[in-house]
Amino acid sequence: MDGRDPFAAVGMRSKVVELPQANNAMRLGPLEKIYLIWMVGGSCDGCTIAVTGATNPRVEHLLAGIVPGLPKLELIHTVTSVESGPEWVHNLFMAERGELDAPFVVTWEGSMFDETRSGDGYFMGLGEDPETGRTITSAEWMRRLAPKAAAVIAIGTCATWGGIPAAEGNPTGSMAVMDYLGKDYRSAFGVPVVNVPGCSPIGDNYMETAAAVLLFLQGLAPLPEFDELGRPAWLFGETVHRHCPKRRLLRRRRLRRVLRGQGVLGRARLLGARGPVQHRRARHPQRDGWLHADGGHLHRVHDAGLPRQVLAYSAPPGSFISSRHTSRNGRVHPQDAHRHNGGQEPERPLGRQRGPIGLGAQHAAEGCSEAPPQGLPRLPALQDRALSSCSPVA
Amino acid sequence: MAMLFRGYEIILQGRDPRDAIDISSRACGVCGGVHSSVSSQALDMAFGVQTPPMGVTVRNLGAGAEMLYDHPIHLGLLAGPDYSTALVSVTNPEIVRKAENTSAPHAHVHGYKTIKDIMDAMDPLTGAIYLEAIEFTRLGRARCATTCSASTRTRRRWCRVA
Repeated sequence: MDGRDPFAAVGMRSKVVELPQANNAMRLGPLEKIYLIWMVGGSCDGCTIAVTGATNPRVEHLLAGIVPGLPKLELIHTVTSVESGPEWVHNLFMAERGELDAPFVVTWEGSMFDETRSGDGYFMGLGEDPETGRTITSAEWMRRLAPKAAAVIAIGTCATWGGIPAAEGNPTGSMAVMDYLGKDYRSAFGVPVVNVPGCSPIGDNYMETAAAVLLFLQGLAPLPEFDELGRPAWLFGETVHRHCPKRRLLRRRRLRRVLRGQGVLGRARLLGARGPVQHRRARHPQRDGWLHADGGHLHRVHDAGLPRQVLAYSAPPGSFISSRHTSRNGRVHPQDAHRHNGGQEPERPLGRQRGPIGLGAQHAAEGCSEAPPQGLPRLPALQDRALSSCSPVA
Repeated sequence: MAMLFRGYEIILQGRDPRDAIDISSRACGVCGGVHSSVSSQALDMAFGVQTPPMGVTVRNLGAGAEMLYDHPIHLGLLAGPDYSTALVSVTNPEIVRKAENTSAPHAHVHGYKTIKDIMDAMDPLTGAIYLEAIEFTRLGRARCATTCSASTRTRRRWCRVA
């Protein structure tokens, strides 16, 4: 592309944004720059906002290309790009035709729509075909770009598990990126779909994951380790509970109140605080809270099954999530089902007879000298993860 | 022309009304907090209950905290580049020439002599206002987290920082 043409899609960016040039001596890999195509489906742009809060590395440093070892990032973003309209869409056509002068990574924010349900219209349009004038849907862009992308990173709960747009009653048939592309999808560089869940996600989680993927593309590092859900294993191996500052409050006596829904923690639990079953890193105490509105205005819900976990008041059966990963996070406990199922309290005593479920199960295992009540099913996620650091419950 | 339909209104139908606090805030990632606040107020009206004075205070603190990071995002990151020299010099060069000769009012307060200087500072990724706005979103986010979180430890830590 001619860099002097102000309206050429790529050239315009290189002309307008005069960034400090990356020092070539710092370049350690084959890539000098890489394109980051940030696409949206049914999104709220909250993930974009979350990523601007990242500090390790900072987004402005990555875009300026001054992070050692990492290529300079050329951002093609639906909101923050300086082009608009056909000039912006031209980037996507170039990427599809392979005319970009560097590989590109697709980051997907928001859920994928099932456009077969949209009839004559569309749920999410993103540009037009210059020849026919037909509106191209974002799902079609994903279909066209994914085979040629160096990596596909799904950010946010919508893109990873389906999210709120996939709740029951939605007319759009929203689904996760992994569901849309298929489990066996591999990018042009052999990377599976990378999931960075969270609503909203922690910006640093995305940045570290993207940096790790970029290092792999540079040939400087092996492919990062992902867990069975496609999440970076080193970020989501622990539960939020592990670093919860309220953890010391969960002694045995208070645990009873918590399980009854009394006190601050009990109310928090009823409101959907799911520390013990949330797998994610909690590293910045100032930036990451543990209850509502942490790190912003949104719940931080990182595991599959967002509507169930957030919608503590009512979630009719079937509304839990469309993603196939729902089963990974466990079923609703029968004693909890009333909160999800019309608000009818079951006629059974709560409290001492209650099994080690939900918030505090780990402490029940740690703190109780007596064996926990038997005969109640437990959340599989708790058995797998939260209890792994304690002595096994008989 | 709307390019996006997510069906939030349809999803909200037939649910427990309290879920609107959580669902409606997902309508927008920049301004989600106000959706939650207004949903709460609507629920107050629907249930016929009155918010206690301290509850109003907490809501105001939360709204103010969200404004602290919401406004830098909008002014610095989303809308600011539209008025920057880098973009206006491509679209309307005559405005840039005019801005060079226009002195900025209250220069003794903010330090920018001309309008052109302010436009320079709004350049994406290089301008001072742009970079400062990104940094202030991080501070505002931390403030929002500590305001809305019930964590006493983080609250104390924030007080030390502040």
